[in-house]
Amino acid sequence: MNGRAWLRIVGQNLQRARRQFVVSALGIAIGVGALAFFLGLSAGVREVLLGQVFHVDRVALEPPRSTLDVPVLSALGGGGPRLIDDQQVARLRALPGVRRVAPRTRLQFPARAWGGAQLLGRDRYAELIGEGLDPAAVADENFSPAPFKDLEEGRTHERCNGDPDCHTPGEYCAWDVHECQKPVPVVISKFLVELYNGSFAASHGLPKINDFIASRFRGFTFTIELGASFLGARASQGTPRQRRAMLVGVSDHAVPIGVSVPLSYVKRWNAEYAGAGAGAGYTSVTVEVADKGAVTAVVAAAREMGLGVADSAAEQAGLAITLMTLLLGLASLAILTVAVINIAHMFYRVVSERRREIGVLRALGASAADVRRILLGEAAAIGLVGGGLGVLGAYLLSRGVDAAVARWVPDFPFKPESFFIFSGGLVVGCLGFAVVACLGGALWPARSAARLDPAAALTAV
Amino acid sequence: MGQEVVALERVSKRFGAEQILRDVSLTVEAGEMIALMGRSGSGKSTLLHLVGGLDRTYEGTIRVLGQDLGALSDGALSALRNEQVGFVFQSFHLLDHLSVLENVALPALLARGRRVGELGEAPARAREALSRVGMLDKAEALPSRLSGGQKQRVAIARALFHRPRLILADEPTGNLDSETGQQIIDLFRELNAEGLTLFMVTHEERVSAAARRVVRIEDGRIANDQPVRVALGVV
Repeated sequence: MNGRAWLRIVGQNLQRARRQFVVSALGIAIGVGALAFFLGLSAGVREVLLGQVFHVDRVALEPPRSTLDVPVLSALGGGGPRLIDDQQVARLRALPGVRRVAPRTRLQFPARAWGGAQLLGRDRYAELIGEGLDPAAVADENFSPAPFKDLEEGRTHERCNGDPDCHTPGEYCAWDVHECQKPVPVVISKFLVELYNGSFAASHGLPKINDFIASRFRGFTFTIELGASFLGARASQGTPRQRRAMLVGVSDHAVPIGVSVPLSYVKRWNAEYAGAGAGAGYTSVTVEVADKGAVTAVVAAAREMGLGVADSAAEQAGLAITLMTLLLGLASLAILTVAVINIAHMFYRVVSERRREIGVLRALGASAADVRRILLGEAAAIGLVGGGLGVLGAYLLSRGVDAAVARWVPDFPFKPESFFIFSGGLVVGCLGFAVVACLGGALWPARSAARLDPAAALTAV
Repeated sequence: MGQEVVALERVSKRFGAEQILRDVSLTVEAGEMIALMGRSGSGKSTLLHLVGGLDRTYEGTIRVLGQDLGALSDGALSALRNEQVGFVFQSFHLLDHLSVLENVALPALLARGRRVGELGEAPARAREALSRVGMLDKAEALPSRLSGGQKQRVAIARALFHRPRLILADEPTGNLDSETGQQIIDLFRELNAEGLTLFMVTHEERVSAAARRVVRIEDGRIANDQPVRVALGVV
């Protein structure tokens, strides 16, 4: 029996048993549809969580916390974490698989900020949560209107008594030292933008920041005051002074909550307001790996160096997603198993009903293998159609869910346009799985059909 | 002496403890029309199934068209049935979901190793076979629309599709009235006159009367094997 003849016989058999075929295909469609839906959801959520919220190719390392590392003491200049030194950073850079090491250090003294009248109608006031970030970490990103680097390093300043005395565009007069300075470049994180869009903007009736608006915000300036807090705290040393800061971009390397400024500014400020020791090291280091598979080895090496993982949220989120996927996948597999059992049941019935017909086919020249192939062909067709319907149904349902969420669920940080990703691999995989499952269900009935004694089948009543 | 088409040598067959055939030896030559007669349960249908390769558990040797059935693989045996042997059954065994034409062309779908192009010739060959049995006008009908005699004619057309060298018929008139049965007998006579070898199982004297040779089987043994005139007492 050649392929064309086989297809014709399979087609004829499916045609005459349309109802059985449709019912079985629907069973498979439900199982595969559920599987495709959950896998698509898992892929979509994983993309958002591990692609935008957390970054699986990065690990933040920090020195072990001392027993005195409590926020109050830290704010008062006592206790606090030990720091990572340049030697440790160099060792981390030398580890295999490491693409980039970005040292960071927090502001270790009180600071505050205000501004925004030009954008929000009136100034807003807040404690400044800041962090120094190695410009090398964002070297491949574009910032404007100023680069993200130390703009004060190695330059001489014009003397001034007010902004008009500063003739270089963009400079302002730092009144405490009577020097023309460039604003401190600042980047914020995408997380902060999402937090603003998802919570703050909605509750305060403010416009959301999209990519376009974010680009318009570049160059927005505000005032920071180092060494003083709205809560009344003061730095343990140094005199509070004001500086101007300028937003130059949004980067997912920036500190999630707060602002990131070039590392050398913070090191100088920490030395000035928290003591020389505070300016000598780093409070954390972000290690980027070329392949996320190298993260485990890097973490192990870092632990040997006495460093710990600062944030394992990505790991936990990934694990949670995997577990959820596994759980929902198992539920789908249970549905599919029932469908496959139904397929097996149906084919046993088919073999019983077609017993005499199988005998006729054998008498007319069908081999045992031909009989087996015919039944397996019917099963594969059920799998293909059922799988196709299932994947299509899952896709349509996902569109419905996305539309419903967009319409009825309030915005939240990192709310995606779609919670689902149906990749080509997922579609082909689900279809293949449906076909294989149906073939599995029909295998034993097909074997028993092929083993039927033709003479006995022909005389069956 | 003609060419040997079927040769059985000391063939025995049992179902469990029951011995159905005992040391049966028989030869059928090309162009013969043999009637195998016997009471119900005498083993005649079993013998036909063995000759057709539908039952492969037996002792002894069975050769059909020069091929030892016991030595053939399932595929080779299927090909032999498909291309060289035609079956006609008492219950016709037409497939109800296929038209008359599709039923007759079914052997073409089951042919081994045939080119796709040859499948395209199947309808024409099926029409030719239907024309031979006078059923061309019913080519598009479903079997359920046909009378018993018409169904048997279609079954014979199906058996003739690949122009076989041997037709095995199991009670071909068993489900037909006498007039229709006679028409089928006449058709078999015509086919035999054209040189086709026919091996029929029957318990009807009028069918055996059409044969040239009558083999009686009793208790699994060949009781006698005689020319029809002798067997039926004409001489």
